[in-house]
Parts: sequence; structure tokens; C-alpha cells
Amino acid sequence: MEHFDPVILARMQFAATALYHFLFVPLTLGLSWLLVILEATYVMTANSVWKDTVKFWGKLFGINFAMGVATGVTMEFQFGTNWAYYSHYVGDIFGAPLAIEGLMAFFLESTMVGLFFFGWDKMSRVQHLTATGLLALGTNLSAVWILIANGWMQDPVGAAFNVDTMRMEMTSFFDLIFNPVAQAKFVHTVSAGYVCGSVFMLAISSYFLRRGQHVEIMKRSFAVAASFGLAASLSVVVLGDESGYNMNEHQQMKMAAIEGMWDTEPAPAALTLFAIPDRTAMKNDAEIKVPALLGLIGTRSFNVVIPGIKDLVAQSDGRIQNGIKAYAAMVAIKKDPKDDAARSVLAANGKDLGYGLLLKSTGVDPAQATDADIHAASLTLVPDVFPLFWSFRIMVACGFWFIALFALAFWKSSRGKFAPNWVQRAALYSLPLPWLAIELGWIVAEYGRQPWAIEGILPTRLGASAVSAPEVLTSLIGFVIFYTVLLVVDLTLMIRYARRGPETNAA
Amino acid sequence: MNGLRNSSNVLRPRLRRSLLAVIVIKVLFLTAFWALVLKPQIHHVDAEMMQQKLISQSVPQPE
Repeated sequence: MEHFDPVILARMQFAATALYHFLFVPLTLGLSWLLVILEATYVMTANSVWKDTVKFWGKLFGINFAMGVATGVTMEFQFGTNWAYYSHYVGDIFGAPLAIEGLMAFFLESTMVGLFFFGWDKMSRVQHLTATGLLALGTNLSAVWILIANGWMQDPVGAAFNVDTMRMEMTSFFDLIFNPVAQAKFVHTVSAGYVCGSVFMLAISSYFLRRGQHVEIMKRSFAVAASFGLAASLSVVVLGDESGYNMNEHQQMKMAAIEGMWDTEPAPAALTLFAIPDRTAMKNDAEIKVPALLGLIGTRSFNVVIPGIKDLVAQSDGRIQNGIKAYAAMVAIKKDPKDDAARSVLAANGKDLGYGLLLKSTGVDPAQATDADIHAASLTLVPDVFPLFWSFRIMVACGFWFIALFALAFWKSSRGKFAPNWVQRAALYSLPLPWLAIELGWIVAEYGRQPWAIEGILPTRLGASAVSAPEVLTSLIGFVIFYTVLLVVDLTLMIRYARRGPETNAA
Repeated sequence: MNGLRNSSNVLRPRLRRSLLAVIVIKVLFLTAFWALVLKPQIHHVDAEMMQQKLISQSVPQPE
């Protein structure tokens, strides 16, 4: 047991709970707006087939919602158990969007979900549609606040270190909520949720259309999913590109790692389509490259250079030198709070304090650091390139596949071709792909940020609590069992009630 | 009021009971897990402890 590293276990625990939670969230995000579209059509046409359609998909939405609710709260537990230093250091900023999410979005969503399920006989059609719309709005608002918090971890704007309280404190709430990284992440993530909901609806509609069952309901569902999915899949790629553009400005190491770009190339850089990255040798094997493409996508120009990993490591050596100065100033201020000279040094080098802490996180006292120690700390900034490189490529491939799938489905449905066909079969087999793409997207965003908990500010290792490996392992096992049972129950209910089909004679 | 008056609920009683049972079990599990396993692991960190962590204390490294 003593061979387990509690920080690695704590990271595994957070990853496991986040990845499980994110199996439920995207379907809620996507299906909620699809329900609004279906119900709005029912309100406009008064055709009961649309109502039966809403009810069928609403039932599956309900199963997913009931299974997913409270699966995110376990991550907040972990801020207190495994990440107590992180919580102190950045809680002043990070806590605000989380609290607003609970107060604003979760309560709205929870209230409206009750009205959606139990208000059919008690409200007018327009009132019920309003409740469904507010339910969709609530789920999306929830994503706004969570992604504002997450966006701040990727690009910590609107905050400054206070040496007297030993934590980061918010300087601008406006900067926090209008952080361009957070905005790009939000629209990309919710669009991915819309794709997930659309693939889900398209696949299940295809299942019934291929069997010739519930045709009236399923052809409507197929057409709505194809249209909404086509718009969403185009958005997810365009907005993902915006996210990548932001990354090139704020997280250059992550960008270089995703692209397996060890050396800086003359602008515009080539895009590596295929490679086997070797982190130890800092090179790629079996590369296949497309000239100029990465430079054009990543910088939207012909002449802006994208730095490679080796150059970024060299630049980090300089930032760590500044960080050592900031760290020494912090130590001096803690000894003598009236040391104005030290406060001036900290003010001048404070933006690189995190790099001094990075050195500390590698077990080296910044006051005693040698050049070799500094370079070794810089090398820890290079994430594992292989999983990032391939996670990103599989995610992007899924994104382009969804565009093709929805375009074909849209073409078929616009021509009224709902008889069993190969597009329906492709849709059915594509059912797991949105979840695969979304989970890989999370890995790219969060694993790619390592070794930082907060980019350039707080190394992950310094944010961890002083918990023992057995303690973290116990809670990790408990969470994994809990979530696995939930997932099995969810899949069982989902498959059972999806196969049963709509409860109507309309078809 | 409209054609919705005689409609049934989206969730049939059996499914509603199943989902309710899942939510209740989930809340009970999380409450028990919190009380027995997680609560004893909660750490409160203040400025002094943060200073200790960042300045004085050596950071344990992975094996």
C-alpha cells in the first residue's frame, strides 16, 4: 500500500468521478433542447403524434436525469478531502461559479424537471412548453458556471495572489465570467452535448424504422435529430477550432503536446496526421504530415510561429528563474511582512510565482536550486504526448464522422426516405461514439493541463491534501463501485424502455 | 383546458417507482459514505497551513 502515491490516487479518483458524471451530462444537455423542439412543434400543430414523441423521449430523458443527478456532487466532496490546499489557494475564485451553479442553474433545472414530468395534466400546452424550455435553459446554465470555473483553471484571469492570506483572490468577476477560454469551452462542450442527444435520438429512431415499428413517431424523431444534429456537429467542430485557437495563446505546451510537435517549425507549421510519439526521445516515429495545415488552423495566419515542446521547455527555464525570485520574496515577506523591497520583487515577478512553486513541487527547495534542477522542473511541464495526441485525433475523427452521418440522415429525411436503409444502420452503430469523443475531449483538456492544477499558478502536487494512500484508495473504490452500479442500472433501464418504444396507438 | 387533460404522465408508475428507488438509494449511499468514509478525511486549510505547505514543508514525491 505504501507504494501507492496518494496524489496519483486522488487524481485517479477525480478523473473517475468526472468521467462517470460526464456519461450522463451530455445526453441531458442535448435531449433537453430536442424535447423543446418536439414539444414546440406539438404546440404549433396540436398533432398528438408530436406529443407522443415528446413523451417517449421524455421518458428516456427522465431515466438519464434520475441516474445522473447527484453524480457531480462527489467531485465537490473531493475538494474538501483530497484537494484541501487547492481549495484554500483558489477557493475564493473557484468557489463562486460553483455556488452560483447550485443556486441558479441546479434549482431551476430541478424545479422544471418536476413540472415537465408531472405537469402534463395540470398546465396548458404553452405553459408546459415554457417549463420544458426552462428545463433546457437550466441544464445549459449549469454547464455555463461549471465551465467558467474550469475555464479559469485553464486560463486564470481576474485573480491575483495575496501573500498575506496565502491564496489567490478575485480581482475581477467580469474577467472571470467573460474569460474567452471559458466561453469557447462552454459553446464547444454544450454543442458536443447536442451532438450526443442527436446521435442518441437518431440511433434509436433508426432501430425502430429498420423494424418498421412506430414509424410515424420515429420518422419525425429521425428528421428532427438529423437537422439539429447537423447544426450541432458543424458547431462542435467550428467551436472546437476556436477552443484550439485559444489554447495556442494560453496553453502552448498543451497545444504542442496534442500535435506531437517537439521542434519549432517555420510558419505555417505542418499538421501531423499520424505518428507514434516517444516522450523519452522527444521525437515522433512513423510520421505522416500535411504541410502548413497546423499553422493555418492554429494561428489563422501564414506567418505566426507555433513553438515546439523543446523551445517551450527552454522558455520555462527563464520563467522558473523569475519564479525563484518571486518565491524568495514571498519567503522574505512571511518573515517580515513590512519588507517593502520584497513586496516590490513579488509584484514584479508574481506572475511566475507558480513556476517557483513548480520547482518546489518537484521536491527541490527553490533557494537551493541548481540549473539542472531548474531544467528538470521544466521537463515536468511536458505532458504525456502519446495519449493526448491520439485522444485528440480520435475525438476529431468522431466529429467529422458525425457531420457526415447527420448530413446523410438529413438528406434521407428531406427526401422522405424512411424505409430501412444503410444510413439508419450506420446511425445505430454510431450510438457509443459521442460518449467516446466526449470522454476523450475531457482527457485532452484536463490531462493535457498537467502538471498544473491551475495553469501556471498552482502545480497539482501542491494542491493535494495530506491524506494517506489507503484513505484515498478506499474512497476511490467506493466511488467506482457506486458509479458502476449506477451505470449498469442506467443502461438496463434505458435499453428496456427504449426497446419497449412509445406507449401509443398513433403509429 | 386543452387536449392534455386526459393524457397520462410521461413516467409510468413502475418506472417512476424504480427511478425514485434509485434516487433514494443514491442519496442514502452518498450520505452514509460521506459520514463514514469521507468526513474523517476532510481537511481544513488556513493561511498558516498553506504557508507551511509552500514554504517549510518538503513535498512528498511519487515512488
